[in-house]
Amino acid sequence: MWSQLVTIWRVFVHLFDKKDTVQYPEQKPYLAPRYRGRIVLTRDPDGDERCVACNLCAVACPVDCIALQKTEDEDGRWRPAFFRINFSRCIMCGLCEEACPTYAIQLTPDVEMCEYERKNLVYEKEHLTIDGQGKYPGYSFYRKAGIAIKGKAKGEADQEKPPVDVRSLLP
Amino acid sequence: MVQIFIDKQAYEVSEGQNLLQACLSLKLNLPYFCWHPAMGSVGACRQCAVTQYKDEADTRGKMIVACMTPVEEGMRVSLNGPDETHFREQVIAALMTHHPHDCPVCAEGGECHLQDMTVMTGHYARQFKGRKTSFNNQYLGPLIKHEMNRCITCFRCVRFYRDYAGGDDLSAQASKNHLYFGRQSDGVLESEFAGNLVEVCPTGVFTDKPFGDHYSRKWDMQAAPSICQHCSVGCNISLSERYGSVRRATNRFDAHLNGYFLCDRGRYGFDFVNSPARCQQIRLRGKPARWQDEQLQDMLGSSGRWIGVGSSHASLEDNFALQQLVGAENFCPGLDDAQPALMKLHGEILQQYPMASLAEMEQADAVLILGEDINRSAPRMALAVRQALLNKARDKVESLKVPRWQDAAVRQVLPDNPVPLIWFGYGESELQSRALVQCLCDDQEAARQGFLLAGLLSEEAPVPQTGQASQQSSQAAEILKNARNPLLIGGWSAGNPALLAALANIRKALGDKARLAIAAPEMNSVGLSLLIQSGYLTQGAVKEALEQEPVNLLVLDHQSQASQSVLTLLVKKARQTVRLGLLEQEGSQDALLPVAAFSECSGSAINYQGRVQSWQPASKMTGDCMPGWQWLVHLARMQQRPLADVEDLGQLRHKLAQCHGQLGDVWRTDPHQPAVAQQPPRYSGRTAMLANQTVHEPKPYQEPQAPYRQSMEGVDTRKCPTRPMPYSWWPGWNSNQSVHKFQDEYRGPALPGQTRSVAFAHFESSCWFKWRPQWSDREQVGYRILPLKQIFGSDGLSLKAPAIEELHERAQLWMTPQLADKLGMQAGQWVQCDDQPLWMQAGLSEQVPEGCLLAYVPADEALPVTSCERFAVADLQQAEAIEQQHQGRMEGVRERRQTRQSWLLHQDEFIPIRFVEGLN
Repeated sequence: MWSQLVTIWRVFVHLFDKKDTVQYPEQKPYLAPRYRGRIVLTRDPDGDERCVACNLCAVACPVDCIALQKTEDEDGRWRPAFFRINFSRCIMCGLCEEACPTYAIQLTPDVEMCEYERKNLVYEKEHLTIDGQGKYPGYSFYRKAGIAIKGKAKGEADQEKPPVDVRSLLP
Repeated sequence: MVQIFIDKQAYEVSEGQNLLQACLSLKLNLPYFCWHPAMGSVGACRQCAVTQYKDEADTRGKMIVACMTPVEEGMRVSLNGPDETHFREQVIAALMTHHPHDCPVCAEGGECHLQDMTVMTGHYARQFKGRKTSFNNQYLGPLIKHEMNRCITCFRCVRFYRDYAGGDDLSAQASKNHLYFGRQSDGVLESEFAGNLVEVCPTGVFTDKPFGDHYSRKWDMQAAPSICQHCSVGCNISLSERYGSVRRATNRFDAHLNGYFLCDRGRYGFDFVNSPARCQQIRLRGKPARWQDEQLQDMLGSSGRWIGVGSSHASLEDNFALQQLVGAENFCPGLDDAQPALMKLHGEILQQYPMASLAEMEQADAVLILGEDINRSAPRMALAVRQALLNKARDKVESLKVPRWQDAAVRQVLPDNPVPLIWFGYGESELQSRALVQCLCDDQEAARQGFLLAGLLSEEAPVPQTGQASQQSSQAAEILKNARNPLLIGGWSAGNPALLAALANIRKALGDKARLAIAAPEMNSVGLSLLIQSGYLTQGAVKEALEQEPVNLLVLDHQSQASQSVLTLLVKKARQTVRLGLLEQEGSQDALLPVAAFSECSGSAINYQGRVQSWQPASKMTGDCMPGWQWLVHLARMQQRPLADVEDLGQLRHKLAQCHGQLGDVWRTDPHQPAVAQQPPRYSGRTAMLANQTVHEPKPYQEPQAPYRQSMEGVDTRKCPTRPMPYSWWPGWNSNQSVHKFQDEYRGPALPGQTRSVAFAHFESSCWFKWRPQWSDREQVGYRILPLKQIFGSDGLSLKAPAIEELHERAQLWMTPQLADKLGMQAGQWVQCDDQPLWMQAGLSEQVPEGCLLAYVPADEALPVTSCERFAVADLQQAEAIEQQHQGRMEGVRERRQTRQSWLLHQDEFIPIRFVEGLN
């Protein structure tokens, strides 16, 4: 009898607690930047695509929902000719983001991805690419890599000496 | 066998090998870079360090390098102790100090030996804080891309290129941290084996350029065991596919044939399967048609006599189906005038003597090459012969108590211990320049000398009435007599059957110690000779038949050189022509049925040895394409002919084996064995690659009873003990170096699934071939024109691969400087012979026999004369026009390459719907 009274009292006290329920969609809960929602492709500080089509996201994906094809443009950069994510298969696990060596692929706190038709959940490169750098500002892969691209010749990357003169006799 | 202790565990290993080889044979993981199973040890990288202990009581031990240490009885080593593990990690750490941060944009990534070894040693964080060295790259031609920053200076590239393959335009330059591997200046790598650098380099310094243009990671590609289609050696290759198009060919280890290396024609020539010139549609009088069209059905079903023209570029099955459909009496093998005699003789010789495999060639201690330039006609064979030239030096170092695999020691004594190479023939080539005994002569003289040489070796051998043995022949006789393992090589290139007969006679004179090899021109020439054993229709007979009665022609056209000249003639006279075509061609055929390329269907061919080899499809057929035999079965059903009851390839092969008993159970597979998955376990993108077309993922399509599946379902390549591997992979070994996990020893017993039977049993006792006067003394006026081949350009199929098209040379006419003086010509001038429309560039060479000229004519052009009297030299205007035409053509090649590239990228997104649904 006593325990039942205590229970009723506790339920009553809960009436005055702060409400957990949010009036979604009028009100939106706070989702941290690290939240794993819709995937985007970001750009480097110079505004170029960060993705170098290395295929590591695709191979890390446990549901195999990322497909892309590498192409090399005239400026020497590797880029995806197409980059497709089938969000109807995606489980938002974030492994692609962890695998990405260039910070190109990032998960965002946007979780509102509902469609009546599954095929509308297939995102191509133009749907995925955003104009900013996302969560990791300041990183540019090609500044670190050894290959030459337009605007960065051999020896001009960070931590690189100028190209060796093979015909020099000095060691 | 000796007993050694590794990490206190006893193992039995075979004697004479080094410790690294022994560890790898035992399937232990020991990292290495500079060692290569085919190239021996030099101990340059220090990566395979292990600790050796004196005895059981010794606990300190000393560090040794496994690849330089021979195994000894009772040897005690440890691989996984703290000292050696730390040492190996530090070696990698040092190698990585200047290695760029390139893996995501490196074409080697995912199959990189350096990546594998780094993971294996446990090195993960860079300790070096200084700046990295950088290098400028070189342009090395359309086949290979150079990215020097990635080099770890293991020296494998120059050891392969210079020592193994005999090239001399790639070298190590500068020193210490400035060490550079490249050419003197930018330019195309000259060696015909340069493509192997891609696989030899443990990291991404040399990468495959055409593959890089349409790139995919190794883990993403569906692979299939296949056979190279560009010469009669039949090297084993592995074809890789992604998004419906074939991406590259890589070496597939075969203990008997190619071992670890391919030639560039084989590695890059496959690309014709992606050519925009591939037939994709049924055509009726040049217009696209459908199978159901009444007109087409009427034409294909029409009665009357049908004559079939086969092709030595088509598979055994296709040719057999055609032969069955039209009947043996209406089957013409589609050869030019000289070839039937060669084919017949080659068949006879195959029935008398076994042919040497490439592995056996490498054991030879004296080599005779009679009138054949194998550097061009069968390049992989030339590479094997080159290795045989080391044998005396290997014996020498062994007599000095140095192991045979000490490569540096072997090269040291090589100049004083050459293996005698005897060369009868003409033209400059790598092997010719290394010949100890050389005789410059045309094919007729070479054959005559061959006969005389046999006469010197045995008294019973028939010799020609005229002619005397040259000094070189007597030298050769002496060498061959004293040799333990003489090797005799000849071929079809010169178009002279006397050369084959001479070789067979020398083989008989030398007895069973000698080995013989005859290079046929095309991949299935020997297969065709098997089919026509019981009779065939000669070209002359076909012409006659065409004149006498209305005949329907059914042509199996795989663009083989031999058949091209013949075909155009025949097609004109036929009542109607049905072409089963691989590549688009000008000229009007009444009906065209597109056939699937070798990358899209299963088939078999017989190589120069008589070895039956099959390939598996790597990709799906597109458009209206079907395998040749399948079209023929449909035709048989329409015409109610004997082939009509065949349902699938298995039944056709069964029929084929019934007709040719010696084929036996070549194709028999165990139906209870699970199928092998062609896609690697980490194949990615399955739920997205088709999603732009449909979000409903199709069920993986699978051919009934196929031993391979184009999906991930099926057993792993590691667990198929009896079937050839589609690709080579082992956990921790992503590169092609993983092949040692499947081998017992280097070039030891064959890999699983490589025990193929030989189609020609040696049931006939050997006989002497008699000299026939018509083999020489042919009447001729003016200068004799001898055919010369080039590695790129002489093979019509590989010429459709854009990278090779870019490299192929223009027609050339070689002459001696004396003759050029006499004719008033200079090197580089453009010349016409006897009013033939073909312009050829004159070249000077000492290696031209007297009274002869050497002519190289690309496969897509023709020079239908064998001798000529008059020459016309192009004046300035004409020369300019020729140059302009060539420039225009090269422009066209580059343009086509561009359009093809964008077309391929477009295709990647639209994998054909037949592929999607698996309908067939």
